Amino acid sequence: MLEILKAQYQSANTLSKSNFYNPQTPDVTQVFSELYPQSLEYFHELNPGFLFKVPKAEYLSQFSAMTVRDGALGFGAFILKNFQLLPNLSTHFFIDPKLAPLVPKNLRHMFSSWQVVQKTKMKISEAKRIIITGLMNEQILPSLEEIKRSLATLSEANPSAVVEVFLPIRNNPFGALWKESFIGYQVVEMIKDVFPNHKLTYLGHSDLFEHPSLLNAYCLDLMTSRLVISDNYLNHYMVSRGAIISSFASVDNEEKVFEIDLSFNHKAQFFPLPDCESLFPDMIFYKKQTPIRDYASDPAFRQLLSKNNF
Amino acid sequence: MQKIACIFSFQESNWVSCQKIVFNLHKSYQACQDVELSHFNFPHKPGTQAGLNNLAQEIVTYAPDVLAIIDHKPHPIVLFQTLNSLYEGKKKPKIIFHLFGDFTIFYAQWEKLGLMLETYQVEFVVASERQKILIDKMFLNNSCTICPFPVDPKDFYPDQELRNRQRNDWKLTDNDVAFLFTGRLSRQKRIKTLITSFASEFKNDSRAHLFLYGIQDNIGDLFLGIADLEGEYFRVFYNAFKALPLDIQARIHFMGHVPNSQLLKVYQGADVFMNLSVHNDEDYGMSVAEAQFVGLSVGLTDWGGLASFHHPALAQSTSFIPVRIGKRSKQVSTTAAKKTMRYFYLNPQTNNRDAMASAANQKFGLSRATKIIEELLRRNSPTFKGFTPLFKRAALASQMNPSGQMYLNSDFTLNQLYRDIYSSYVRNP
Repeated sequence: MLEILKAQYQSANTLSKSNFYNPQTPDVTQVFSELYPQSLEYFHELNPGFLFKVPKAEYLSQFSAMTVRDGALGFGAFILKNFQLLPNLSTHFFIDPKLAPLVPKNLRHMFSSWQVVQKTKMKISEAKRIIITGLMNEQILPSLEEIKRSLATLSEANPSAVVEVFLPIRNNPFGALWKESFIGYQVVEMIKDVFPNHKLTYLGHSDLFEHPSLLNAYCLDLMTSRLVISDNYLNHYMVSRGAIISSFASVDNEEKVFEIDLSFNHKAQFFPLPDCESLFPDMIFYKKQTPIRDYASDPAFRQLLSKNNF
Repeated sequence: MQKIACIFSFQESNWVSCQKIVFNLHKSYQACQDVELSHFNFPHKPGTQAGLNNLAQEIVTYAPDVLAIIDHKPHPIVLFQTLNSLYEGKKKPKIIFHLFGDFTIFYAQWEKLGLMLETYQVEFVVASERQKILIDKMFLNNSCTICPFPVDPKDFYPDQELRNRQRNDWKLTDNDVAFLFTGRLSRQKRIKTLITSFASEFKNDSRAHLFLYGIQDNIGDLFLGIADLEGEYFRVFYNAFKALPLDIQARIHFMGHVPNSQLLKVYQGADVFMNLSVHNDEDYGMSVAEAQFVGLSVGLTDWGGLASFHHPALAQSTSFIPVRIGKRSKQVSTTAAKKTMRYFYLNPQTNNRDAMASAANQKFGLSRATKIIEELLRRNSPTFKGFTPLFKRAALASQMNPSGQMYLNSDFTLNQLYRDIYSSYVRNP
């Protein structure tokens, strides 16, 4: 793995600044917009990026490494479309360890894992500011039970802490199926149950990007599902300005091979792919059954992945 | 008695230096003699049209003799679009615009506002000599007045006890020399150059330390076509830092962000304030002013408003590092940066701290600002005469290049428009 990392460092090729990356097609624009601002780009030398913004897998061959930010839908769709082409690429992919079951057994050598580790620590009770973030959409968020469990951790919050929420409502990033959703209201009601005596301040994304410092802020990231997105720009932005992010690891991975400092407050660590059963045979079976090529937008594919707890 | 309507946002700006600027400007207005001051909240975030209408109506009802626009945003066109119609057929107030470094981002807005200002007496106030040179190139016959953004001497002053405490916190002895930077860890502040110059100059000098207070940003340098992704410039300067020998890394300290209230102690602990900024918006240098109020020597790029921080009676306490506008970028002399740091390392100027604080207060203190403002209020001001051809060129270029690359040729070299404007910010263009 270290040779791959060295090759990528030395090439200094940046995926997210490439001309082909992020074409302004309706599909790509839809996913980007519905995941905004979490879908914004950031930088380190191992090419964090979204596969849904790569129009053809062959274009990746100029990069020795890519750090995948897609969720299971985008990553799984990429695998299904390109599993025969992938052996011809020289790119090594770093993925969220929870996405490991989607990797075909014969391609495991092309994949490793990564995670973000927070260097600074603070107890929730010490936070002067609690910021709850999440894009309100049923495709993006985990179950309400999972959200409730996440919110329960805030019972330790200092009663004098200011509580702010960034909970913009979004449509499905993948697929055009529209249905009424009340999830945004349901989440706000749950938050009010946790903070019955607090006035909630509702933030727009520009409010978050305006502050030069988020010291003493604890950010509860409700987007713990890996179905749609596995790496969130907003978390990177906020942690580098001093916030503590609930979804970042607080201890080093014992198997780490390499790490990169992303700011004074957080780093990315890279380690081998965890051993697990591959879901790929089920994915191939699904592919053979369906005439659809836009797998990420197919409810049947979503159903297949949701059953496996992404 | 003159009635002054002071217009600013009652909510603090997210731009840290502007928080203090607006607050202190307001104090300077409050100290003016024979004035009645009233404040009007012009929020940073756009509100409803109804809100704007109410604000404009309140101002007109107050019937001020002078409107003082003392905040950096939103652009005053937002208010004047509503206010101007209410002044039809009425006696118009004089308007004092305190201009900030971001003037060169808002050509379109100023152009629109200019059309409304022709029947108003106006005063344009800038913070430094070099900013005056730049802005005077934009207005036909309205010469700017220089009023440095003031510092309150009650907020920043030399204090030996605080110095001892800060030195203790930093674990420094009296013999150590502390170089300090405060501000955004930004590409345009040349943080990498500061780190590498320090490391190169002091590789064998264990008494030299560099303290950097601030947080990374992703502002890049859009005028040069450099759009940084989040974390990109951090990797640039942090890689440079990590490539240094460990013993030198140990003497470069990244301290993060501190609130304004803690800055006094931080400045006290330092011996030299360093700023290698070549920011397009560098109209002044609030942090430099504060550092001088505490008595620090300063090593600065000879760029924009930073050139103001020279005191002839204390010439040895300010050292300028030459800047030139190259083909593709602004170039800071690293040789001169190292020479500056070596000079202060050998000549710490600790005995001049009180004298420097006094000189800074005379030049940049609240009282001086009040005197300048009183003169502005007193005098018969000209009406607005319009913009120069240079301004109109810039306004057109900014409309043709909404992505911000109005200063670049097709080969990404800096064009003549950039040089015509920003030659104001260098000593020998």
